[in-house]
Amino acid sequence: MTPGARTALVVALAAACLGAMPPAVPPVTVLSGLLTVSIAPAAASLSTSGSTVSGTLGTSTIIDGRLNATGYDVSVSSTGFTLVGASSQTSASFIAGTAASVAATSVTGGTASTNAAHALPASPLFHLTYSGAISLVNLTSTYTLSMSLTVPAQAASGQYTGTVTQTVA
Amino acid sequence: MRKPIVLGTLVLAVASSALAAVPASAADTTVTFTVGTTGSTVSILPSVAMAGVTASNTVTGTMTSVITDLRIAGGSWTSTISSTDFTLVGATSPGAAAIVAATSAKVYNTAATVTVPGTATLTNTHTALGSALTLSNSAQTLLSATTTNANVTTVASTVSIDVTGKDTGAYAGTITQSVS
Repeated sequence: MTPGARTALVVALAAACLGAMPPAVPPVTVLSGLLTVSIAPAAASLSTSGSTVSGTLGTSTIIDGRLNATGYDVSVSSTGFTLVGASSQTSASFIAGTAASVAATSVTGGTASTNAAHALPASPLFHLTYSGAISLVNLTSTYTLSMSLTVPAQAASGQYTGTVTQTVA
Repeated sequence: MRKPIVLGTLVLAVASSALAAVPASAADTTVTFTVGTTGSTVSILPSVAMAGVTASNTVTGTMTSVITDLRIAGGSWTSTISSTDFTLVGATSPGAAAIVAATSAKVYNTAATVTVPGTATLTNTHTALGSALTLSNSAQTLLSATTTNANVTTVASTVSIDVTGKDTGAYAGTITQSVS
C-alpha cells in the first residue's frame, strides 16, 4: 500500500565554502516525503461474548517523512463481514461493516483529537498533532486500534471474516 | 558572496512543492471472529416418532431430521441410518407373519436444505423411491456433506415399508440415525 516512491533530496548549502578556504561537506538530509502506515500483525482474531464481538487490531505505526508536517488524520473503514464459505449474501451470512465501531488508544508521538469510539466508517477517527518542535527528520507515532461489533440476531453461527482499512493523510 | 544562499533557498522551495500533494497511505487488517454456538461436535436430531399410513401393501411415513455441525473448520460429515425389524405390537412370540424385516423398508430424502448455502455441500443420492436406500439392521450412509464452516442441514425423509403377507395390526420398530 505504499505509494510510489518519491524522494526529496534537500541540500542545505553551506555559504562559507568559498575563496581559499578548504571545501566543507554540506549536511544532507534525505526525507522520504511519504506518510505511511503499517500494521502489525496484519490479521486479528476478535473474541465474542454474547452478541458482542470485540478486541484489538494490533498496533499501527505511522512514519511521516513530509516536510514541516504538523500532524495527520487517521480514517478507518471496513468491508462487511461474511460467513466463511457462504455462497450467497443474506442477512444470515453477512454483517455490515457499519455494525462496528472503533477507537484509538495508547497513542504515542503526539496528541490525538479524541479517543472516543466512532461507528464505521470513521473519517477521520482522530487527528494527531505532533508534540513539541517540528524537525525535518522522519516522525514516528503509534496507536492501537480497538474494535467492537454488535452481532445481529439473524446472523448464523460460524466464523466470519472481513477487512478493516486504516488510512492516514 | 550571496549567490550560493539564494540557490539554496530555491532548492528547498522546489522540494517543498514536490511534496505538497502526498497521497494517503493505507493498510489492511484481516479480521475474523466467531458468532453463536460453535464447538467440535456434529449431531442429529431426528423425528421421535413416525406414524405410517397404509395403502394396499405399503406403509409410508415421513420424518424430519436436523443435522447441526458446530465445527467452524472445514471438514465433512456423514449421516447413517439403520432400523430394527418391525414387530406386531403385543405379540409375545411373533412368527414370520408378525415381523416385518428392516430390509422391507426403503428410505429416501425428499428434501435436504442447508440453512446457509455454501457452508455445507451435500451428497444426496437417495432422492426418490427409485433410488431409495434399502434399510437393514446395520448402519448405511443416507447423506453426506463437505463443509466450510459451522452448518445446519434439515432433511425430510420418506420411509416406505412393504407389508405384503403380514398379519393385521400395529407394528413398531426403531429407526436410528447418526452422524459423524
